Amino acid sequence: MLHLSNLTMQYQGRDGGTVQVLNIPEFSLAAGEQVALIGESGQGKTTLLHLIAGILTPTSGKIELAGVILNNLSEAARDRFRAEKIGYIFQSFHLLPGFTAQENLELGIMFAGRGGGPARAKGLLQQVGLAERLHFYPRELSAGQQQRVGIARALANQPVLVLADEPTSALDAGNRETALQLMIDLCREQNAALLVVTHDRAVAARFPRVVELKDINQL
Amino acid sequence: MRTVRVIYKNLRQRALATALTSFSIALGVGLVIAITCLRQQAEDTFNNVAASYELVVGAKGSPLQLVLNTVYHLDVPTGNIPYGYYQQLKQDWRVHYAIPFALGDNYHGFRLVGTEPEYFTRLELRGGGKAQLAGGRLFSQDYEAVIGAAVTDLALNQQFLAKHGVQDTQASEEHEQHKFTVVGILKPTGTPLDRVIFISLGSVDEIHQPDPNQPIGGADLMDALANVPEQTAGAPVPLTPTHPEPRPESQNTQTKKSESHPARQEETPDHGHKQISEVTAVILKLKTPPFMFQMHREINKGPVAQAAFPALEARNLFARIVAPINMVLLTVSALVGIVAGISILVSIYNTLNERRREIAVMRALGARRRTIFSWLLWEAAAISAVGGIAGIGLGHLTLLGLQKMAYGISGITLAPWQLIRTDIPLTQLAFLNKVPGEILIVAVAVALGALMGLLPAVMAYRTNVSANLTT
Ligand SMILES: Nc1ncnc2c1ncn2[C@@H]1O[C@H](COP(=O)(O)OP(=O)(O)O)[C@@H](O)[C@H]1O
Ligand SMILES: [Mg+2]
Repeated sequence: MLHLSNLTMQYQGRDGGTVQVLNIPEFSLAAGEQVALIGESGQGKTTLLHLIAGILTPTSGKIELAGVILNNLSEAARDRFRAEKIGYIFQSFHLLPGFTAQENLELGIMFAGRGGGPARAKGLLQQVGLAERLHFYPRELSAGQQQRVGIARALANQPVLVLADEPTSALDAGNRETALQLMIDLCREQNAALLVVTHDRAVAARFPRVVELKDINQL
Repeated sequence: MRTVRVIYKNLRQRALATALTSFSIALGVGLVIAITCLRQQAEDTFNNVAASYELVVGAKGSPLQLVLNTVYHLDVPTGNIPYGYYQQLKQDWRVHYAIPFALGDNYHGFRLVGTEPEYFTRLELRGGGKAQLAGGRLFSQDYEAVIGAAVTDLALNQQFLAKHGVQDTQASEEHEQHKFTVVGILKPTGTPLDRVIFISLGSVDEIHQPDPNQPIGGADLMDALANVPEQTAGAPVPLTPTHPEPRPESQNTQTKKSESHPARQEETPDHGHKQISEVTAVILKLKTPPFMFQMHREINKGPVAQAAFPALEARNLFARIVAPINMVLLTVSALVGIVAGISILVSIYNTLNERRREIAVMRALGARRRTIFSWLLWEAAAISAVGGIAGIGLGHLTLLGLQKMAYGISGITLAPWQLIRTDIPLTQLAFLNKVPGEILIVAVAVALGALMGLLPAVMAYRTNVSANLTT
């Protein structure tokens, strides 16, 4: 379902030179599969997720997702593709501060161009245990609650792939466990593949397949 | 979720900045609307009032001054003309009516105007009606007064002493001799007439010849002497040296009038022991419009008086004086509008830095660049629209606030809620003239606002998603 081949990424350095961050000859993910990708800070985990989401374009190589080669798409088409096929969970939640929990989900559904926003948003928030907090603004929610909204939002647009960037590293132990379990359960229920990147081995241990970034990234 | 709601939410998130920016737009729009309404209504009233008068005749000088004084009860008279000249006009076969007008003193700044009751029975005011009494009766003898609706300092049956001059100054002393009595009050007309105290011609001291049998009173004599023209006071004077219109029924009276009239004493009404020798002006209505121009020409050719078309002078006044002032005021308010527009730019631009993260998150959720771009434009337009609509209210409320003052100063009744009449001279845009001016002003403000949103929108469009998600 997701297939990366000969993917390289170089950043433009300040001195005018380039910094090679990624060189992945081959990486695949099956539909509905849940994978933890483990790597130290600065190894290029976020960069990889941005590439898969089409937020960044690779220096070279091919990203194929759900039968579409992302490299071939225009930026607008990539935006649309991302809106329809990908869910994204951020380390620092990144909820939109001017919108309630429910509206944060509805925006995702709106961008995907799907209908039935309010009902789906309510249902998902209920599933993450926030039925009583639908109309709360992010600042009125605890960190654990905010990330649960973040998880529900990632699934609001019915994605085929959820990308999670250190989703639990801003949470305490109790919330970490809840969030992790919700993420795993919801993705399974919604038939979305899940790619979690983390530096935390305890988090990685929860997944059936764990990949070391340094094993697939040949710098 | 609908786009409108997203824009509303985005604006609400920064409610204070939004409100302040909208308010500055409201000020600009309100100013433009108030100035435009004021100018338009003043011009309408001026023109309407002028339309009630076909021709006014007075002493030679500035025709604008003559019209201002006779029609709008402003400024000082150009001088006086002989009483006989008025009588001659009145008897002219082309004249439908001739109403005398004599300006004398004031009471608390309200002018005392001496005239004949015809002023009320014949002169048609704007809207076609005549001045009507709200209470009391018209004056029937000297030292009785009928007051306009805005002369609030006096009441029915009240007695008062007038002061010299048309303005109320400390220096001018009260007339000791005669007390006036208010016998009638006029209904409001919404014209400068409302500020006038009407009295009989005979009650105006300044136009009298001192009675040789009476001991000479100092101030009155000075006034009388100052106003006596070179001709013998009271002697009828010809309109023109030669009369171009053959008047079969009165060929010989015409020639007689060129000389000193022996029948003067009979023609001149005797008011008490003084005789009326002058009037300040005469309001003329001719039997048919072509006579207007003919009379105008004849009177102005003659040595005694001038004739002026009030409608023409009103138009000139607006074109020469009011229009330039109006342009200056409109330019100032347009500048206020532009500053307000720039404040939209600054306000959105300032929030852009803190919004980059939000924009990046939206993009990560699948929002397209052009969606973000259009949202920012809509935000700018919405701020202007809210400000613009508030500005309509603000502009008209300003008029409501000015209403009392404007009436007190000029007798003009402002209609604070009357919409601006659109008057675009271009034929291609004539269809817009059906739309009230307020709508057009707000439309311009919204367009300007959206234009100001363009720069921040472009910057939002260019937001680096990846970099702003990680910071
Ligand atoms: N916009 C950028 N410009 C230049 N270098 C970058 C940029 N973003 C990330 N990098 C570099 O790429 C490397 C990988 O970064 P990142 O993908 O954020 O790693 P991780 O998420 O694993 O911590 C780091 O060394 C970082 O400094
Ligand atoms: Mg990272």
